[in-house]
Amino acid sequence: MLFSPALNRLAEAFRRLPGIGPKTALRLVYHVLSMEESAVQEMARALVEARRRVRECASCRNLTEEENCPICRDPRRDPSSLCVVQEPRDVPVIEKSGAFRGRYFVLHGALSPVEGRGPAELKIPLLLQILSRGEVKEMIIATNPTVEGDATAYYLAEKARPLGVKVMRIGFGLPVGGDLEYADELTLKRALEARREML
Amino acid sequence: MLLREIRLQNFRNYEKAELCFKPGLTLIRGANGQGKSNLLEAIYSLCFAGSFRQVRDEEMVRFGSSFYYLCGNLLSNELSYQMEVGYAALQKRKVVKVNGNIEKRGKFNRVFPVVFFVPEDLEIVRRGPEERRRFLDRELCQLSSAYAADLNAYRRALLQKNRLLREQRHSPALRELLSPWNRQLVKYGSRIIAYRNQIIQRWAEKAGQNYRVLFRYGHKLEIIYHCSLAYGRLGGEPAADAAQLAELMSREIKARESEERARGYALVGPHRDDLFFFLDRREARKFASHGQQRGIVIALKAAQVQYYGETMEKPLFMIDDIFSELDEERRRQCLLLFEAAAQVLMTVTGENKETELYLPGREAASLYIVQSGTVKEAKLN
Ligand SMILES: Nc1ncnc2c1ncn2[C@@H]1O[C@H](COP(=O)(O)OP(=O)(O)OP(=O)(O)O)[C@@H](O)[C@H]1O
Ligand SMILES: [Mg+2]
Ligand SMILES: [Zn+2]
Repeated sequence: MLFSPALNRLAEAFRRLPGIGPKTALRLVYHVLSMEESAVQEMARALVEARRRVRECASCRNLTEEENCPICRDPRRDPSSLCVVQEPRDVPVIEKSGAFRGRYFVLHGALSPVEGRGPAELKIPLLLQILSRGEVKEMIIATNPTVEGDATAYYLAEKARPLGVKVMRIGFGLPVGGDLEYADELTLKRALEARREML
Repeated sequence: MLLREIRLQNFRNYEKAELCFKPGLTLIRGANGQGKSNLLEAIYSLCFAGSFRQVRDEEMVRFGSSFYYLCGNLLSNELSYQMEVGYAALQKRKVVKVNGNIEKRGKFNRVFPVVFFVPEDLEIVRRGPEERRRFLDRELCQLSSAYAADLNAYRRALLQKNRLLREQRHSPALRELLSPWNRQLVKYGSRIIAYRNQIIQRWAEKAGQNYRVLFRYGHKLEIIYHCSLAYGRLGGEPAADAAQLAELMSREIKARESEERARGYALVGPHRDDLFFFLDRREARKFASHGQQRGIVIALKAAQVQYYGETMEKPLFMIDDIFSELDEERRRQCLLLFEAAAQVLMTVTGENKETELYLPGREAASLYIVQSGTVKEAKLN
């Protein structure tokens, strides 16, 4: 129980963050109280600034502070290859692999009628517009391996094929360095389904 | 599989109890309302650590208490498992430990071969198709984690499709919006049907034989998987492999598109399937007597026991209140069906002492007497 309206308000505010329950919120509140006022101000500024400055890149919808994100502006990136991901956080994951030199498109979600998310909400018309310009030759769909992620992939594939774009689905396989015997059954099943002939 | 011991604390009407079990037969005897079913429920909850039959944990906490705790030891494929399940009602928190390690999300993924007969199972024969599909899915998920994953994905895709059919019925883009969900319904649905078909056939053969053991002169039991897809029976046709079923299903979805649109929900797929029980070609739900209906369920449960024995290992067979509605000869005959189990735990009310005389392996059988939440071991005589 907090006997200060200000603290209550702060705790309530923390609870709006994902994964924060009442206990964690309280812990954060007490921690904020123990901080220097200047540090708290810095943090508050950082929150507001981030919210104010960051927006979606006009061409790929990744988060950026400019009209176009650094990847879209980079002339060394291959414009004929486009990787479609579900969330902004997926971009750095694929970037870190260093295996992809093309550009991205971020959907900010997957198709899900029960959550009211259709093609328009995911800005799929914008994506199709990009594809219809003819520059993109190959689209790699890297949505999550869930029912919704797969549905999104099927939908995109059906829409993109008439535009003459080669459509690929990212392979979901075994983690490298992991032993086969420790892979869970579902991962193994997917890896087997996505098997390719060895050349 | 063998259950070796279990300890209960604040579970249903047990404050504290401790039982050891041997292979073979154990009788749990007591008058009505003393705690026999509760004991079997505890064993089931321990073996499955929270999956399958979804009883709410709050309901299992002893009245006036704030938690329940179960622990026990079981042996499966020559490995021993120390199982612990605890539930704290205030925090609504469930903890499952196996061999001292906490399991994620309060669930344990290893599934043990356990077959459980409860009186509610009679609804499989007596009630509607939902009960039968629920039974089927529960038992098949227990047999195969791949089936469980397919079923989960199928249900998710079905939910999404039904939402579209309900809310976007008049959208000109409906067909292309539905298409990605239909593709997945076909993919998972065809595998679900193929697996159901395969297992039900095996069960059906054995259940037919078991029914003949029960009712010696009796009628012929047939169990038939009615797949809505094939407009009738798959009836053991070898053509029923998943790839062919997928083609059949996607054709059927196309054919019934406008009907689905008009009704506002999905009409094609394993969520519409059923299981039919026939005695001499007459539907058992409508024409069989109570004793015969009970016999059908016993024959089916025994078939599951035998199937586990042939494909995995001999199971634990828990039997709650099997004797009512059965005449003396049926009681004796149904005891013959227990032999395929590694261990049988069976509740009796004590009125059927004559039947107990015919128990197979009676000399080695154990007996527990249950009286208002306490158990004590006794001699069978
Ligand atoms: N959470 C609970 N806490 C305390 N008692 C409970 C709880 N849930 C059920 N009971 C009680 O447990 C008693 C025994 O129930 P149980 O179903 O095990 O009896 P039984 O021995 O199987 O009887 P029968 O022969 O009639 O089937 C019931 O009287 C019921 O009121
Ligand atoms: Mg009972
Ligand atoms: Zn960009």
